[in-house]
Amino acid sequence: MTAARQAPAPAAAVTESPGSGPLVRPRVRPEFVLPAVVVAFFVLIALWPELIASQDPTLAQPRERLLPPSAEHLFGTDSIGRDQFARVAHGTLPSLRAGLIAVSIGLVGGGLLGLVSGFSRGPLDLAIARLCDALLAIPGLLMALAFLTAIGSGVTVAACAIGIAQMPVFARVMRAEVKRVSALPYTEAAAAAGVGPVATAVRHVLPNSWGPVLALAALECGQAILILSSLSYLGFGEPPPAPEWGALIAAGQSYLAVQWWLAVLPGVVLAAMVIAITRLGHAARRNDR
Amino acid sequence: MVTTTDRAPHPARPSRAGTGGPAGFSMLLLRRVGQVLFVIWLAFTLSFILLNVLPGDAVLAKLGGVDANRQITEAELAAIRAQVGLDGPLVTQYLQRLGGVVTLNLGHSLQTREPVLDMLVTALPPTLQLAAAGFLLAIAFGGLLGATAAYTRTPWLRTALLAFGTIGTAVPAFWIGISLITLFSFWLPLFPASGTAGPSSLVLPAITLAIMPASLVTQVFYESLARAMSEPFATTAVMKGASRMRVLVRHGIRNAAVPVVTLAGVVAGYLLVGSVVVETVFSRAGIGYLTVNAVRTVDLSVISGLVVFSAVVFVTLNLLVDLACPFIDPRMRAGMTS
Amino acid sequence: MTSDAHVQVRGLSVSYRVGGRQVTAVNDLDIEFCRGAVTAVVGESGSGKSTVARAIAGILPSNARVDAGEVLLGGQDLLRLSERQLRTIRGSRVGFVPQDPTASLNPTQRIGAQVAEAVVLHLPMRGAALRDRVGELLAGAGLTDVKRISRSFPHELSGGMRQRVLIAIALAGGAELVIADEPTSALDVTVAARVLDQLTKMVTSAGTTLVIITHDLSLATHRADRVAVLHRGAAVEAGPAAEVMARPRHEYTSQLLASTPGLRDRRQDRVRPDTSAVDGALVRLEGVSKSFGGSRYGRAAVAALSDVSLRLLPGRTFALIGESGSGKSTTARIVLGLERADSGTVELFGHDLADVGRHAMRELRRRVQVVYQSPFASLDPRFSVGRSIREPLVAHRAGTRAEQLARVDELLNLVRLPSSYARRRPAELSGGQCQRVAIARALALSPELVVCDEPVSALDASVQAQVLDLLREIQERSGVAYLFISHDLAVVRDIAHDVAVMQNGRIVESGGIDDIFERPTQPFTRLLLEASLRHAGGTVEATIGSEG
Repeated sequence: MTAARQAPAPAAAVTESPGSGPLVRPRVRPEFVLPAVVVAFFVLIALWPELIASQDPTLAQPRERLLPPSAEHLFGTDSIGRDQFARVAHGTLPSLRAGLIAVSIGLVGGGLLGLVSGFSRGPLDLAIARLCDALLAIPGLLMALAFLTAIGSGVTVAACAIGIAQMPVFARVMRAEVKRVSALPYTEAAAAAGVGPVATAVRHVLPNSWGPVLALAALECGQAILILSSLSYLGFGEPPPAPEWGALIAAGQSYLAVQWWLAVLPGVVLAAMVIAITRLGHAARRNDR
Repeated sequence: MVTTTDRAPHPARPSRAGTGGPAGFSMLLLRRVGQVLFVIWLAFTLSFILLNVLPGDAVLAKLGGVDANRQITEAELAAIRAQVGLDGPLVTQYLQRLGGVVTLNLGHSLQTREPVLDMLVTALPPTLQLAAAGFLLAIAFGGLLGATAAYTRTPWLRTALLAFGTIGTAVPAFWIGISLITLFSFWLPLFPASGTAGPSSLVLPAITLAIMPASLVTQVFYESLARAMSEPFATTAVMKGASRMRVLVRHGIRNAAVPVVTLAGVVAGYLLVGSVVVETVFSRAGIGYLTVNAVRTVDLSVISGLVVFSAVVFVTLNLLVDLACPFIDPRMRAGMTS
Repeated sequence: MTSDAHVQVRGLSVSYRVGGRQVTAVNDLDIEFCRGAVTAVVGESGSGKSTVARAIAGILPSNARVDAGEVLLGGQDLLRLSERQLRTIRGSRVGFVPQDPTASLNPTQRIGAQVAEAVVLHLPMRGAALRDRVGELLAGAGLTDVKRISRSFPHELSGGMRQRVLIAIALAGGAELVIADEPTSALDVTVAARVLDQLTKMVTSAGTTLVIITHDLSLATHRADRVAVLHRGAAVEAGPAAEVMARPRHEYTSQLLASTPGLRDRRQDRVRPDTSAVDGALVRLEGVSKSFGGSRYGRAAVAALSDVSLRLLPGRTFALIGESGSGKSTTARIVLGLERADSGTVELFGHDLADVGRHAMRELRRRVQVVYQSPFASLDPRFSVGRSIREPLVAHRAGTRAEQLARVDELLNLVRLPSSYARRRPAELSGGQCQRVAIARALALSPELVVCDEPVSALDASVQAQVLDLLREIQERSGVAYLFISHDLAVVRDIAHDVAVMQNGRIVESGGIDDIFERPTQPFTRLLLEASLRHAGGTVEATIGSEG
């Protein structure tokens, strides 16, 4: 159905009509705007938590312990009287940073593996495929736990481990895209026109194949943040005074019966951020098609 | 002969599945099993490099129970290495451990001196129960939601059902567990908040574990069903006079099944890892508890055993999935029957 | 032929929601289909012909909306029926033969079950009686060995067999109206002709009304009793087929007739380069063979080419014709140096490719360029038109930047596109315009040979004619030679000087265009010619072979 191609033709020599505008200019769509705004908000809070939380996240006020949410303490106070809202706000940066570290490693490492694999055939391609199989067989959380055991604790170590576990996912998508674009007529036409293989790869194959990989990066970033929060919940995050979301939820768990908000509200914030990042990825993927 | 140009696809034409005839199938099986063994070996080797080559002095200090804050001497380090079996040439260690894996000997725990395999076997039943319950819930719930979303022509209902697909993958499992405990153990005391006693103790953990895979199944099943329902063969069925429900059940589901079955392999692997978090939330015994404990006590042997175990489970499940797919989609059988 | 209107479409308007706005596809359309007659609805892409078919069958996509009108089947308005009422009509009164036989059968269900479903939805049949009925239906659609076919899955059948199965399904419930939406456009020409014969034979013997939706004017004119021509969502002309063809009343119909290859007057003014003055061939293939597949695991290698020899001469168009899988594209890729021959000699401009080094190869490649079939995939979507055309010049460092830009302008001019198009992206162009850009890019380095791999088969007839005229004009001006790959005999006859017919990786016959077309010596060539004429409904009586 080419109903969209029916605008009147301006070109004198050609009776056919060209494609109409909307197909060409990628319009900014609402499904893209809302998650983008939310993610931008979280980035802002990560960089300047004071914007919304004026209180000190580490200041304990024993007389104000376990207060319910109020105008002064939006998320209430914890067991030693620290403002929970300030702790959540200050916990944004470590979550986001660790997610970005993980996904950067996955994107760069996996992307390179996928590129090499996509441009080569035979034994090298096969070897990379098997390596990806092996990496896929060790889930991200387990990989992170193994790293933490072998190298010692630290959010960066865990983030690196998750990034390594994510590499095969990126590698597979990258490889498939490179193979797809390499087989398209315009890539072959470039070769026939005398453009060298490296130039063809850089000018035609890469720009047309990294869209889905970048969309995947958003999805994987959300998952990395989730896994990292699980590690922090299990007690393998930064040491205690640091306000990490997973650790906040773990600390709140002891007061579930009465002060349920201590564990539940940080979880809502975490979910909101991951949903926003994920939607961004979905929107980018759809835009790419 | 006129029909030379309208040949039916020749059974012996090259296909992903390999050569023709029943011999082709066993060849294929043999090759896939070989691949599986290779991948397990690779996973083992990676974990060996990670756990036996990289350990830093701090880790060793902790292993030896030495106060990590003071400088420890080379002699002390050597003693700890010898004590936990990390001394000697790496190649010898590697070959020993590889030989162990082949003979199902995963070594001994550095902490309890118990054989790692025994620890795994003891911890497996409760986790298996949990994972099986979670798996069934995820498939049933996700399948139902995905199919409803594909069947309905009410846009808001579809949007709502698919929103679950997004939210379920974005909410951490431990938070779901905590919220469920708040709701169904404290506010409405229906189920126990912890323990491994009786079937009722399985309800909340199984739901917690199932949410994330269920939402994945919802997404994938909806997408592949919607695709199948918009294929020309669905139009053919509609033009026979079939109802939308009939088209969905008779023509949609089987054609949409391959991506979901493929996903099931991934999901089953996830369930095993997800149990790490869920078992901690609900204080259940099992593989997850074993894992967390091993990390806390820097028990390298147990962790290494867990990595190999996870790889074996994951790879075996995916092999089963691969072998199941041709039975769902006959096109994948091309070349296997003659 | 009876004259009472069986189906009446009155004032039908359908629009699609595209990117937030409504786009009208069918506008206030009136058509009548006579009982027991074969009516062809003809139009180019975007004319709304498929929308009409789908509106009548009640299977419009979800983003389509019927804005006005009615579709009366025996006095009953199909557009006012509920989904439940429609279900009783579909299959039993209205049958549908879809366009793509491969995707239109459920790949996971056996053929027998799929045909049986069409029966049991309307008749209470089961067991042996149902099996017999399915066998009858398949046999009725011209299939032999129906027992085996019933047990087969769709992928085990050929395209033609699948389309016959779909015809059996469409007629299983005894439909009084059958709508066929481009029923043969996915089939090879020899197969298409036989499938169409079968379809028309079946419906006319049963007194069924048949509506064929098609872009193929020659098919429509010779096989249908009546023709309706659609243009931009409205019927511009309708009437008895012979009358419409002989005396088109509407200007668009005349234009369509004039641009249909094979139907338009053959150009006698084609320039015939004097071959005696030519001392050497541009390309010489001698006993070239090539096979694919073949691996360590003992898979049988599939021979794509065996013992192919040909010579391409300067300034001439050499056409390679054959059906899908006959090896014509592999031959083209070997000439382009994209594939290597397993054995035999490949000579480009007098150099044996086996002895040519990398640098020399690059220089040779400069003299051979290519135009592909798919207009949209031929251009990098991220490159502007100007950059795409300039790319070969940049790659070969031909001239300064200013000279290159001037050359781009000149090339755009040559392919009849305004200079301003240099800044456009491929997505802003139509298929024909993309193909013009691809031709301009191919000509940028002034090659001696351009390989055209089905360059017009993805285009509408009127655009096809324009692109073919352009290619011919460029040849007359610059003396470039074409290796023209096509499955369409009408197109080939329009443009080629020499022709080679390929079948199963071999050249079965070759020679001058008129020799081959007027005096074919090989049975396969005759079959191909006959099929293309039969497809067009001609009266060639020489029947070779039998239905298989």
